[in-house]
Amino acid sequence: MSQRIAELPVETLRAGLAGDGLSLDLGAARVRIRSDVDALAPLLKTVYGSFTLEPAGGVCDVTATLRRKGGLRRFVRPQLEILIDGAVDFEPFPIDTPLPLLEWGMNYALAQRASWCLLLHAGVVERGGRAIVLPAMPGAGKSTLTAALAARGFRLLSDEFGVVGFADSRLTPLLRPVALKNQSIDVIAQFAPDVVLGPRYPKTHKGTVAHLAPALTHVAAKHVTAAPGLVIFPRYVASAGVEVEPVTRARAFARLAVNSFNYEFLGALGFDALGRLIAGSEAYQLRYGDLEGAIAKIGSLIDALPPPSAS
Amino acid sequence: MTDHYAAVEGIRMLDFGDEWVVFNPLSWDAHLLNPAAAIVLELAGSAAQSEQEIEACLREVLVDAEKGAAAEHARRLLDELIQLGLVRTVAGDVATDR
Amino acid sequence: MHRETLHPPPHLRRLLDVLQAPQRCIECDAPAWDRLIRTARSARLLGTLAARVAAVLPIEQLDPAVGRHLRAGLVEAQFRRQKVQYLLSAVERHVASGGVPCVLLKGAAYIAQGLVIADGRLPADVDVMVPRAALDATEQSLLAAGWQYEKLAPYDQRYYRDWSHELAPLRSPGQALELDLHHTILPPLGRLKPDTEALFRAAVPIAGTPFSVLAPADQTLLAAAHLFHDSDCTDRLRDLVDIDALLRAFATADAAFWHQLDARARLHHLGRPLWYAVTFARAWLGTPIPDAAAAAIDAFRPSRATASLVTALVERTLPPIDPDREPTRARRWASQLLLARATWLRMPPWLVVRHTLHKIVQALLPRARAADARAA
Repeated sequence: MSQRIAELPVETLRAGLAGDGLSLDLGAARVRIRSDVDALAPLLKTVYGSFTLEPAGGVCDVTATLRRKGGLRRFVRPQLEILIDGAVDFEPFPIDTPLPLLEWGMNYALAQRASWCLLLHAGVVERGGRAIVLPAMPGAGKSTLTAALAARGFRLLSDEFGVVGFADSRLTPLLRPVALKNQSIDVIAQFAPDVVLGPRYPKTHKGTVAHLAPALTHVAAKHVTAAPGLVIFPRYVASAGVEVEPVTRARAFARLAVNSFNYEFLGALGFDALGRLIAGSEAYQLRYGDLEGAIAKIGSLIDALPPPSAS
Repeated sequence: MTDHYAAVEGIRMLDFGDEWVVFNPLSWDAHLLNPAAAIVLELAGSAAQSEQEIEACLREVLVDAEKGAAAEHARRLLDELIQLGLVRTVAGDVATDR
Repeated sequence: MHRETLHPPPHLRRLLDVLQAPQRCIECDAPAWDRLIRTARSARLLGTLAARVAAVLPIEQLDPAVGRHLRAGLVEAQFRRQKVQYLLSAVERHVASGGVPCVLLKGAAYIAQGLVIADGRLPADVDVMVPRAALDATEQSLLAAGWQYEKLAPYDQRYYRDWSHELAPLRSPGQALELDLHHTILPPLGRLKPDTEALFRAAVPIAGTPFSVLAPADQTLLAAAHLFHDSDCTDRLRDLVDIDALLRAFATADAAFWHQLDARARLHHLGRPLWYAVTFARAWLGTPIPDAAAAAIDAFRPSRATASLVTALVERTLPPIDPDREPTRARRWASQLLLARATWLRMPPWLVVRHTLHKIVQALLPRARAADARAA
């Protein structure tokens, strides 16, 4: 069971998808993917290449089935739909966008049911044992920055989900392909030419989307947690160089609470977990037009923190 | 019998220096409090307080320029905290649990 | 009850087993747990399952991959409980002041009574009942305080007002749940007419609150009527779990409960739904019923043909879908038939025709797809 998906024949993957499903360990969650859509297997081979297949029959947090939508539409502008545990909760997508549908569907399902932790809507990377949380404000370029940091030696935990433990507020990886949109795809392709990118999907409801495969070393570390470190609210402004401003902790608390998938459902558990995270972090607003400069700045901020105490 | 004021059960407070973030167990909202409000809430959390006791404490911690207005501040802060549902009035001298 | 055994579908057996005997969950291997959690979640019973398991063993003893889902279920339920309590504290002075009797129904009632059944439950809204005479004033008081109706077409508004047992749901900013204001427990023009005044007379006050709850027998009958008389039963296993839990709790608390249940069923003409409720609860959840009580309830059974038909339909629709399978066409048809039955029972014939025509016309008009309305 130690073969990476990139090394498995497409037919093996297809057979698995059509049968009991392919089980993947993403770190903080395990997912099971089922599908009879032929095009999916080679896509998974690309963007999930560094993952190994888990044995079938385990306990999975999300079971997603991707299939053609039935009915008369089959013949005129066919569509794909995704089912989570047998139920359709998501709008169907055009037939040629299997990967975006799968990824968004799994995001949706995870966000809805992961009430065993505080789930932030944020990219998360790590250095020196400490996490850098990048909350996802619209237009902030969170995914670009996260992908760029990951390409410059920071360990990727997630581009979408900050998984904060109730007991200790440590961050756990939830590794998924990084969804890059529009210009960000070209930016990252230039910034890190070695990255593995899936195909571009031009006409999704978020514009053009492409998925970046997480690196082998990051996937291998998917169960390694990180202590609180920095909270960086990014804002991409083309004309800015790199401008950093501290954010008060109270303010950071409020902004993270709003940028959470489930804070409002958790009551005191969420309050305590977020409070501890904030108390253990320094928070900054980052306006940047210069990606390399932003990364260097973040690096110097995180390196200035003392090493985390043994938890 | 003077009214006393007590923090409701289940409040959690985070001290972030200049600002406090408080968990409201009734609404599950989080509120941002300034230090004066936080002090009043902490007092009311340790034991039921009369308005005079709160005023006295505020007078200690307020800057000189504000000390004269301690009574007003006490009343206003209490009213706000009550409105937020963080503090409740307990009748009489003795705080009783509901 | 001599009716041939009712068979829960195979994919449900494990869940029903563990709900009845939570300690049996330790027999589950990983694939069994996986299906159990997913089926329970789909049935909106994950919290209930978690509460029952947690009552017999510490969740930490289980595999973390399992335990976190049970804990998530409890967290969800705690959120709902909190929101119910918050809503009640906010509306107290509108619905339960000036001596107006205000009776909590269903989930809010279970929470207010501190019943174990409330642990892990996921109430979707808050149901309260006030006398018809107080309804308008109560409504006005709520509207004046910022409560609002969802935007409803005039026909739907009128449907609620004139023909239903409740007003359209009310919402308020800052409140996560809806408030449903009832004046009786079943649609007033329907075929079954419970004695609303008797409901109020027998209501039991909850100490420390201005609210009451229905007498235990009435609560049970309401749960039975709500499921077997006023719904299409589709994916409503959790309602049956409630009924079983109510029967057990109330029977344990009071030896006279079965007798009261029988008497109140006659008074309110709710014997028929009670028969269905008890038949299914016994078959699927093993509810213990003394022989004498069972015989008395059997007197309410419908004709053999009706019993066969309705129970066959309910068997198909009540369970959640198998998470690994397609919902069958048979299930969809059974749902349609039971929906027709519920509509029929809810209204007199002339109203059914008008209501159905209206719904058909609405469905034919092009309109934007509504947001997913999977019932909570």
